Amino acid sequence: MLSVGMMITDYHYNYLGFLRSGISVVVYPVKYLASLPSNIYQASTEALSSRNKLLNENARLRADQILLGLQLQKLAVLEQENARLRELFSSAKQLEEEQVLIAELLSIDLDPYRHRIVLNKGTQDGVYEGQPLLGAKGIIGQIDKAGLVSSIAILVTDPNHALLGVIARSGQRSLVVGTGSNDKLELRHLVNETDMQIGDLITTSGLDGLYPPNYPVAEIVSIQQIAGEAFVRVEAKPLTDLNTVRETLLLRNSEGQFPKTAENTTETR
Amino acid sequence: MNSQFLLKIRAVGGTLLAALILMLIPLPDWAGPWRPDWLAITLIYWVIAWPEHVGIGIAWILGLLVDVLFGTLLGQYALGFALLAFIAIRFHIRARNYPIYQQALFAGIALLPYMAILLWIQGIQGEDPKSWLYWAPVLTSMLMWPIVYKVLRAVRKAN
Repeated sequence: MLSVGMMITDYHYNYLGFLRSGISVVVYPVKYLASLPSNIYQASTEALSSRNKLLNENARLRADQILLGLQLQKLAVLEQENARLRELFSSAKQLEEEQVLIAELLSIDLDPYRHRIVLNKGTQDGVYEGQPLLGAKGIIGQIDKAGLVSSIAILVTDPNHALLGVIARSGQRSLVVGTGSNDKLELRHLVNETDMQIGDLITTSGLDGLYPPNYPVAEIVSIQQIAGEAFVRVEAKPLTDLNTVRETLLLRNSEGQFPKTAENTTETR
Repeated sequence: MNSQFLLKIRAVGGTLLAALILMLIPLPDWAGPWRPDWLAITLIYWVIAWPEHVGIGIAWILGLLVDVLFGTLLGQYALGFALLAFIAIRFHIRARNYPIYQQALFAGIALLPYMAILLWIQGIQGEDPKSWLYWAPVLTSMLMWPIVYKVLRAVRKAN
């Protein structure tokens, strides 16, 4: 019993990282086994879906690709123009090249009260703690614990997660805090006079040292003025549906790593 | 004698592994908080049935594995399971003689301090669930006890 107490205090000083990553290799097969039934279910529904449906999907995806290609062309032009203008202003700030790593979710449930997900990539693939995690439409979280072959990520909706966001339209900064509900984030410390509307896009500011700037996070869905309270209650919805997300992108800066982990900055709550 | 011992180890290990997998299998959102604590009641059963070999040490190591699996503070579940095993071992002779429904009640009561200590550790980290649903697994685990008991006894008798 005494040793258990020791473990807990020890952990606060982070001596036990090597132990954790060692054991994580041992328990990985368990995670894999647990995710098997739903994987098999998914694979079989995919195998049994009709040819017609697949053809439809194929056509839709092709149309999507053309559309995306078009947007990408525009983006390339804009990027060049941006670089040229910045050169004119001799500004040091540049768009950074980023590399991504695709990681798949293992379909297992951890604690229902903590919004964590398990990914099938670990430190041997170059994953590190604090690495930003993207869904199809924006930031969804960051790596919390990186094991050797799998890692655990904390989602933006976890009540212990906070990031400094910015309302893209007005440039107003705000703390974006998880609520513990899957499709709700809270914007803290905004007053009534703030320039904001329902539907406004919230992006990362890059000022928190957690996430790179200018990645979309969420969209404002409700603004409520409550009598007697100093701040307005603003709720936002993450752009990526966190219930159905299966593939995620892990972001890596060209110069190396984005610093810090989310846990260190949540003291502000 | 020795091979019999190995068989027993295999039975305990296998059922604990199965319980661990049951803990992780995805459930729909509404059912998540109601998931019985399969691992805890399986552990209680083995401690009651075979206290000479499945004791606080085994429980502690099992807890450590769970900690890594869930990404919780290292030692959190280890402490919880050690406490659980201690309670079960303390009352194992009495628990063996209870009728099955009273045993279920015993398992539920044994779960309370275990869950309380987990809640306490989570609270210290500022992660408390803030919901009475946190205690729902106690109820569902009690309901599941007769089934778990029958299955595990069959496994034990078969080996």
